[in-house]
Amino acid sequence: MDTSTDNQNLGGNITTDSEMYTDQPAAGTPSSLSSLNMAADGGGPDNNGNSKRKRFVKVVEVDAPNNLDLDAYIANYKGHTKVNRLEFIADRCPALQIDALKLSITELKNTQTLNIPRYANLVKKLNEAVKFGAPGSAGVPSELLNIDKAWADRQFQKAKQQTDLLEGELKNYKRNSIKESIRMGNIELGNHYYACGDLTSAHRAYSRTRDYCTTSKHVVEMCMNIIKVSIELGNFPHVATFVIKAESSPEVAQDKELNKAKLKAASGLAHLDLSKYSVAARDFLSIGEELVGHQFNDVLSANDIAVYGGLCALASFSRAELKRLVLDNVGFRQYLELEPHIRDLIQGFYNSNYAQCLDIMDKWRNDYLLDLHLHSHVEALYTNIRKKALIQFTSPFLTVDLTKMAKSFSTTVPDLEKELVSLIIGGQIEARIDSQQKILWAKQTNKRSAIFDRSTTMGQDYEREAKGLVLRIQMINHGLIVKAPGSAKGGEGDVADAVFEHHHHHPRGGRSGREVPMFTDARANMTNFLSNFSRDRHRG
Amino acid sequence: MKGTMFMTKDFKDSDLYRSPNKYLVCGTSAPQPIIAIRPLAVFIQRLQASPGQLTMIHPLLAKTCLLAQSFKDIVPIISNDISDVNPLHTHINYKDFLLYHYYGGMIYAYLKKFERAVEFFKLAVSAPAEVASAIQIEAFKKYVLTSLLQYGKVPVLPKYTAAAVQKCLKVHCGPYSDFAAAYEKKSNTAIKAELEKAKALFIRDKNFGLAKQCMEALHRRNIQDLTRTYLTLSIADITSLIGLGSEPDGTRRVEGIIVRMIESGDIYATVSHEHAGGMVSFLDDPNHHNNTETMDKINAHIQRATTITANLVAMDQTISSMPGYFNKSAHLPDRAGYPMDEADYSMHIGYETYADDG
Repeated sequence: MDTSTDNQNLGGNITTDSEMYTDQPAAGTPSSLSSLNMAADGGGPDNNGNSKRKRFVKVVEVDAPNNLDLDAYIANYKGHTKVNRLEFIADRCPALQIDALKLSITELKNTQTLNIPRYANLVKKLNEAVKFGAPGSAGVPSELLNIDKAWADRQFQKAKQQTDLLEGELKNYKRNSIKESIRMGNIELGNHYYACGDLTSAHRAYSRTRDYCTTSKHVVEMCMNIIKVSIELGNFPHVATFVIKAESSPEVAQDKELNKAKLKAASGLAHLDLSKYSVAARDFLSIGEELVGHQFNDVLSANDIAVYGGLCALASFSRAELKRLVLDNVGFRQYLELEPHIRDLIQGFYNSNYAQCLDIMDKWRNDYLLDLHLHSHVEALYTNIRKKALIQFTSPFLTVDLTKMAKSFSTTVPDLEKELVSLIIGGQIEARIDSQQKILWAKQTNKRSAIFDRSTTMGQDYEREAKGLVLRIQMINHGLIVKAPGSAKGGEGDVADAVFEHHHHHPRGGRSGREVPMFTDARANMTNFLSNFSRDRHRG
Repeated sequence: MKGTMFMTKDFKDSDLYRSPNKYLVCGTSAPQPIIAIRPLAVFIQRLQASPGQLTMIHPLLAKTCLLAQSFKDIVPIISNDISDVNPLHTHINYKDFLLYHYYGGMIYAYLKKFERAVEFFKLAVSAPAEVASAIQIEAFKKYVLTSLLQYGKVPVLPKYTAAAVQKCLKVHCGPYSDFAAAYEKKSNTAIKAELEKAKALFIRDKNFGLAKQCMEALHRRNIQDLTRTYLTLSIADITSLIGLGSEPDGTRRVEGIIVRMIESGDIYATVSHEHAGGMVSFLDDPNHHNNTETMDKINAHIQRATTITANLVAMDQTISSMPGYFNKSAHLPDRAGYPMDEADYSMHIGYETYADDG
């Protein structure tokens, strides 16, 4: 309750804008992401697909992370993503809620943020958390629980003045129509909106620079800005488009290797979001050594590259690809050093040590569920990896004992059987199960027989199709075409028609307006026939 | 005894040939349709120029056989595919074609030869059309159900199926398509729900029997799928896997189905009652295609294919010597570059042939 009174007491400009406080919950939470998303790119199929997927993501509450050291983890990031990630963790994990919120509020204050609504929102959240007695709520210092009114007011005023100033300058540039100045003005305005947390306006401002780009360096700059904002908006199809745009422009930027690496990372994120794991893995793996020192940490850290790349690769690559593209990849090895368990996981998978792999995966599952980008893909990635492990496990053997196999996958025999059945039906394992003795037998397909069967069916199909076509050509040649009754040929044919019309499938009178003429004609035929019929009977 | 009356008449009698309806009516209106079958069958044989020729008696015979539920005499006739339709010789019209294939399909469905039935219904549905015929719509309904029985799914209609017909089918056969869609997913509950929904319609269309057979066939199809994934499986497991676990008499029914499938050669398996409840071992197809039977079959196929190909070549030649074809092809843009005299020459030839024919 403290906050609400505080809000009202802030006075002056802030109270009049108090709507802003509530209307704009901090950008970055899943719910606000999707709504902002809508505003950002005015609908379209991409947007639909995106929001559709998001709808299915259920919010998983994580009791406690297994290995996560919040301070160390978050120190890898800076800028918006730091606060976004902290807030994400706070929403998902009650055990870390207070710590995460505390850190995020301090971060906002230390960076002298202009995004005051967000600050207010986080303070409110912290208050609620304390009220519900989340773990660790006893030691929350009071200066974090109360909004620092004077500071907030100052920052708010500053943001507002800055906006007015920049808008005015831009207007001035436009009047003078100096291209380069307009571009710079738009970028500055975009940067400012971005700092204020108004992502849609920032996106708009950055997009406007597009018409004023004169060199390819400008184009790359514009793309990088839009990519940054789009990632934060969660608009990943957009990210992919602009990555392609940037990559196709001849690069002249001085730090071009770094830019390339950043683009790769962004493209990887976009593909990860669209569940294209194989492409995402290739993107992450081709980043090179450029980002080892967290150069892209306003979006993702070097550790993230190792985790995302490693998991995507495991879920989508074959064994040979794994060796060639991951284990022998000098650039990627540096990232793997940062996350040794991922390295062990890949090594273990490659060396067919599945129990160890699954063990590692289980241990880290909660951590990954708390990752801003990875959380909704953890399940899909894990199932894929598990499936691939099962397939690899069975591939070299003629027979496999299910009990032993269940042990090495730490599951029960019936569950394993179910998994195997789905793989066999999907055609991923060529084998059959002996459910009496619990043995998996590799299927011995007789290729000769298969060819015989295939060729006979093909022959039959050919025969049938050719006959059908010949018959059809004949019918068309001879005018045997179903025609509307008006255009049907008269003469003796009609009388014969009448005979055939009389059976139980005579059309039921006028089911739809369109068919009425056809049916009335049929009925006329019917009466015609009936009168003929009765006449014949009388005569007989 | 009117049905036998025309047996004594001369079949080449022009009066009979021109207006046969008088006699046809005699056949169908007899109180016992079975009497008419024989004479009609003989009539067809005498009338036909070749075994593949469609006559106007064909649909009548097929209908009479259906009414009499006696198919001994018609089976040799409908097993010849129709390959010759010529209204100039046999006075048929499109309805004869549609009805013959519709009735023929019904006969094959009755005889449980669903592959042929599907073929017949398909011919009726895909016949060239400017507007849809009610016969085609009814044929499509049966086409859906018989294909589900035979293949477990509905094969797409040929591309040349008239657009008007396809549009009409969409409007009138919605419940059938829904049922087929549910059936293809093999989920018991969804199919049952669709069947309940469409039950009244199926009964009205007199297709409910086929739909019920589809339900039975579903179990058989599911069991066939199991042979691909399992080597041995207890009957109780099969029952629960194919979704009959909740029914009281499930296991007994499943065993019956399996035994029947083994007998008919649909699956290769043995059932043993050594263990409690019974265990089924699925075997591989014992036919290794290394016998004379396979060779004969393939030779026959090759022969038929050669005949058809020869037919096609002949037709191709006929078409390429038609004046209409020349007129068209001469005006095609890519032909414009051809030397003038050559085009003139061929057109001339074409015209001559045509004039002679006339």
